[in-house]
Amino acid sequence: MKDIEGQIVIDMHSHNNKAASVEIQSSRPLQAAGILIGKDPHQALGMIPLMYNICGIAQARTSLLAIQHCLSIEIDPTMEIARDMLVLVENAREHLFRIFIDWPELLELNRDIHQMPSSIRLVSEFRQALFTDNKAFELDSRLKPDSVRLLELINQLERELQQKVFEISTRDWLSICDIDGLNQWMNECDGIAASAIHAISDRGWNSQGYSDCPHLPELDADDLLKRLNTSDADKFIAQPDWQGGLYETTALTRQQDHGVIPELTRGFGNALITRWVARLVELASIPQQLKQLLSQLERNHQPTIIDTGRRVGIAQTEAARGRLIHRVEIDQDRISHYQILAPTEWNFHPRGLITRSLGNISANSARQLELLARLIVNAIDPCVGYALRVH
Amino acid sequence: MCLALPARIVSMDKTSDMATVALGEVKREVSLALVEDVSVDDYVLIHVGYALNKVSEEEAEKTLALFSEAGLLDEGAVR
Repeated sequence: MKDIEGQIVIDMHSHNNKAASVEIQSSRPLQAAGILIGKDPHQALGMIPLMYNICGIAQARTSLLAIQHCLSIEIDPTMEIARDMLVLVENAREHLFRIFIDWPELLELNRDIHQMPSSIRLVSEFRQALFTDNKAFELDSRLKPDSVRLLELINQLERELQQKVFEISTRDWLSICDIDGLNQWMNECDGIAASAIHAISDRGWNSQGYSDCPHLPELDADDLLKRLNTSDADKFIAQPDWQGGLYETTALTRQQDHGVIPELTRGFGNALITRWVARLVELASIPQQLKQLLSQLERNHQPTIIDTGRRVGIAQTEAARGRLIHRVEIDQDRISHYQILAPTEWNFHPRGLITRSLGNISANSARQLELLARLIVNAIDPCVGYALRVH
Repeated sequence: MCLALPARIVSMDKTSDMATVALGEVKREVSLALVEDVSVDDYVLIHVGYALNKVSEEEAEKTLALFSEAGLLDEGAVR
C-alpha cells in the first residue's frame, strides 16, 4: 500500500547512550493541495475534508475561512463560534486517540483500547446539533443550534473525561497549580493519564528533551500573505521560519499560560513532563471552553466582511497538532493557487524543535534512549508517521 | 497534515478485532478496535494501523480518485 502520507525519517546518532546529533528528512506530500487548482470554491470545500480526514474539521474550517476572506464574503460570527466548537471537539478526539492508543504502548502500561471514551465519536453529533443537514463548512451552511442537545453532548464529554482520563472532575484537575498537587494526583489515581505521567517521572525523565526553540507568535495575516507569495514559497512551506527564527507550534504553545504549565515550565522548561501534561491541560479545558462558546452562540453578533480587494485569502486555525494555515487565490471563480502550511513542518524543521529537543537527551541504555526519543516526538506531534533510526 | 486513506475490508477476525484491508492489490492488517458495525466489503479510513471510521463506498471512491488525481496513488489502487 503506497504510503500517501509520506514519512519523516529521524536519524539520531548516539555515543554512550547520549544523543550526539540528529538529522531529519521528510517525504511528506506538501503539494497535494495543488489538486484544488481549477476547481470552483464549492468543489474545493467538498474535496478538503475527503483528503485531510484526520484533522478534517480544522482543515475544512481553515479552507472555508480563507475562501470567504478571498471572496470578501460576509462572515457570521455566530457561525464561527459554532465552527470553533467543532474544532475543539475534534481536538479532544485527537488527544483521546493518542492517550488511549499511544501512551500505553509507549510506556508499557496496561492497554485496553475498549476503554476509549465514546466521546471520540461526538464530532458528527455536534455537527448535527449545530448545522442544518450536517453542512458545517460550505458557503451556504445554515446554523440551527439545538442548545439542549449541545449541553448534553458537552456534559457527556466532561463526564467521560472525569471517569476515564482524569479520575477527578476536569475543573478540579485544572485547579492543580503546582508540582506538589500534580504529584498528589498521580499518587492517588491509577488511570491511564496519571499512570503515564507517573511512568515518565519514575524514570527520571521529567527534564529530558528541553530545547531553546521558542513558541510561534501570532502571525500577521498580511505578512503571511506576502511570505507565501514569494518565489521561494514552496521552500518556506517545506521548512518554515519566521523572520529567520525557528519556532514550535504545539499543544504546549497554546497551554503555556494555563493550569499547572507555568509551574512545570519553571521547574523543567519545555521538557518532556511539561509537554505531556500540557496535552492533558488542553483536553481538560475543552468542556469548559465548549460551554463558554455555547453561551456565546445564544447572543446576537454583527456580521463582518473582510474585503481584501485582492482575490486572495488566508486563514489560520489551531488544530490539535498546532497552527494550520491555508492561503488561496481565486481567479474568475476558479482556484488559481492553493497553499497549506501545516504545523508539522515547523516542528520537524531540520534545525527546529524536534532536532533540538532530541539533541541533548541521554538514558541508561540504547533501548531506553530510543524509547525516550519516541516519547518526545510523540509529545510534540502525536499523529505524524515517522521512522526513528538510532545509530 | 495527515491524509486519510480509505481501504476496503477483505477479511475480519472478530476474536482479535483485526482486519485485512486492501487498496488495489496491496493488503494491510489494521485494528478494528475503534470502529463499530463494520463488515467485509465496507470501506474504512485507516491511519497508523487503525481503522478510524467507516465511510460509504461512494465517499471512498471519490477520495481515492482525488488521491489518484493528485498523483499520490497508483492507477490500480482505485477500484
